[in-house]
Amino acid sequence: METTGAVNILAIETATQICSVAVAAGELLLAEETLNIGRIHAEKLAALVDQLLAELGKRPDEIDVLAVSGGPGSFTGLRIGLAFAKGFALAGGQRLILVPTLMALALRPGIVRRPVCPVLRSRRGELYAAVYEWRGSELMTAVAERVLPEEELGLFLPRGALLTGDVDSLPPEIRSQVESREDVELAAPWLRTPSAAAVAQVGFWLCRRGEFADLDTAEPRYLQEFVARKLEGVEKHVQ
Amino acid sequence: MIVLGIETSCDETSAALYSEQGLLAHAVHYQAVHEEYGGVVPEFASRAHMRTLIPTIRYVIRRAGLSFRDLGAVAVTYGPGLVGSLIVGLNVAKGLAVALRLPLVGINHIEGHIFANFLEEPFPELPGVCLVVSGGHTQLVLVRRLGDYQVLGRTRDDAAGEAFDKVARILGLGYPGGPAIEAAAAAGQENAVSFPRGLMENSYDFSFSGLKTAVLYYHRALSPQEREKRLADVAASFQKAVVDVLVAKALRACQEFGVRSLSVVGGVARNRRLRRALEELAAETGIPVFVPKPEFCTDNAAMIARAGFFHLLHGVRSDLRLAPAPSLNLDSRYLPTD
Ligand SMILES: Nc1ncnc2c1ncn2[C@@H]1O[C@H](COP(=O)(O)OP(=O)(O)OP(=O)(O)O)[C@@H](O)[C@H]1O
Repeated sequence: METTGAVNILAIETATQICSVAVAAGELLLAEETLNIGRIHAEKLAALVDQLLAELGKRPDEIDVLAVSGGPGSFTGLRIGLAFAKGFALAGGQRLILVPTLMALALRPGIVRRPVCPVLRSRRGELYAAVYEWRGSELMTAVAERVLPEEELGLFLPRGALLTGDVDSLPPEIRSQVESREDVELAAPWLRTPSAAAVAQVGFWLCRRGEFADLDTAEPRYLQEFVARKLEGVEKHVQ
Repeated sequence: MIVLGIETSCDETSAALYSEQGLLAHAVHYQAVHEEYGGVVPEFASRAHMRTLIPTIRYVIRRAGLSFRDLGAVAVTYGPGLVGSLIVGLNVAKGLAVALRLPLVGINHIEGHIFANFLEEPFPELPGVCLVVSGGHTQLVLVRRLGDYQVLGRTRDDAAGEAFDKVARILGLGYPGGPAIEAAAAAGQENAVSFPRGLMENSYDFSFSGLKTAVLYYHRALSPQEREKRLADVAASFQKAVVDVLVAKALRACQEFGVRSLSVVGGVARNRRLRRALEELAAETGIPVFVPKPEFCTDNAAMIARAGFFHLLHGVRSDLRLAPAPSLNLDSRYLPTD
């Protein structure tokens, strides 16, 4: 297949316990490496990218765009992926794309005629969720990403939805409630996990639309405000 | 060889360039966000590093009139420190190293502080004693030569800078507490209140929690009007107590090990009262004393680039798998015999 002239995308997915990197030429996946062995991203990510480029015989400066899974997800995981991508792109002058993690997750089960609802569990036991719909061969946002209490998943799921993502770690009552709905379908288990190939694909769409992030100031989509106690209240702690 | 240094272990975002020509450029971005909270909020620190590190690196490259192609290596702090903060600097460094195919060298932050006295000549002669006094650490280190250390003692509770920060809070002064106490102490009498010194004879370890508690009880016993009136005296007396302990232990170590220099590094080394006491000590004992310029006392990447430069010349490289080490200890990289 002809790949010269296509945009070379280095994709990084570290939003969950999965650590995945991929290189694509346009919409053609050239290589992907995925580890699902726990929180090893801090150690493995850079070496994985280095090895993948070496396998492909590509020099770092042959990469045109960095597509990073930008959240929501694990704060630490997101920081590892984005910080690495920033350093890489700063040196090489590549453009940076922050791919919505949930959109990349929604892409994996393939083109379906149902609304696709990906969910990821947050550390606080809530869900990150959104709804996407296929228009032709491109995914569109139907309901924007949000933080959802687990109990509200049933209400949030649109009629006829395909549910994907962290389905297995839902509390049993919520899971059976969702499964008992005849209109809702579950994505195949092997397609419910994040992957850098999906990040590369969404990255390709965003690149075509010119939706780049500002390298200097880009931050993960935390979706959660972080609140700390101000000084007035602090004196009580001093003992 | 031009080394880019990166430091994000706590709440300073910093980058610097060091080469055979010395320090080429450096910048420190201080995160003011924590002031309102009376201490470093780790989540805010991580977020701020993510927003400011890239512009900080760009700035030093531009300032030195260089491009990324000119770099020869990347040195980065990998511990000790806040894990969420370390992760940002470490991964930006790895991204640069992979993209530019440069060697990466991980630097122990405490060792970085020791190198702050090696940015400009004259350098301390070694073997020397180095007192590391910062917000997170208080350690007395025997530096046999660069890369070869023996920790003689450390704090058993609060670090010296932490004691300044906590006492400042007790006294209703702002954060960071070190500069606030120093300013308040300027108009006070050092011998107004006799606070305990916590000298712990026969040990090079430190303890500042007894001193902190003594200040707390003293302060509590005062009426609001007295508190205001005695503020300068209390601050000055507390500061003097800390300085006395630091100087006494450092001097004892210098004498016991017969070293050729004393260095004092870390944020608390900015303290002018401490600096004056060290000058007096040098004058009285003849031991040459070295204290970095104030900007190189607090966390900075110049010292990290400098330490990286040294290790790289000795062939030290880190693997791309280098992980953040939040509670890293100061270990020797070179054994005395090599
Ligand atoms: N003038 C001063 N007098 C006393 N203490 C000071 C002064 N200026 C700064 N400090 C103290 O120095 C500390 C900050 O120092 P530094 O930036 O070296 O350390 P850190 O980041 O807190 O910790 P570490 O270097 O151990 O990781 C704070 O505790 C601050 O109160």
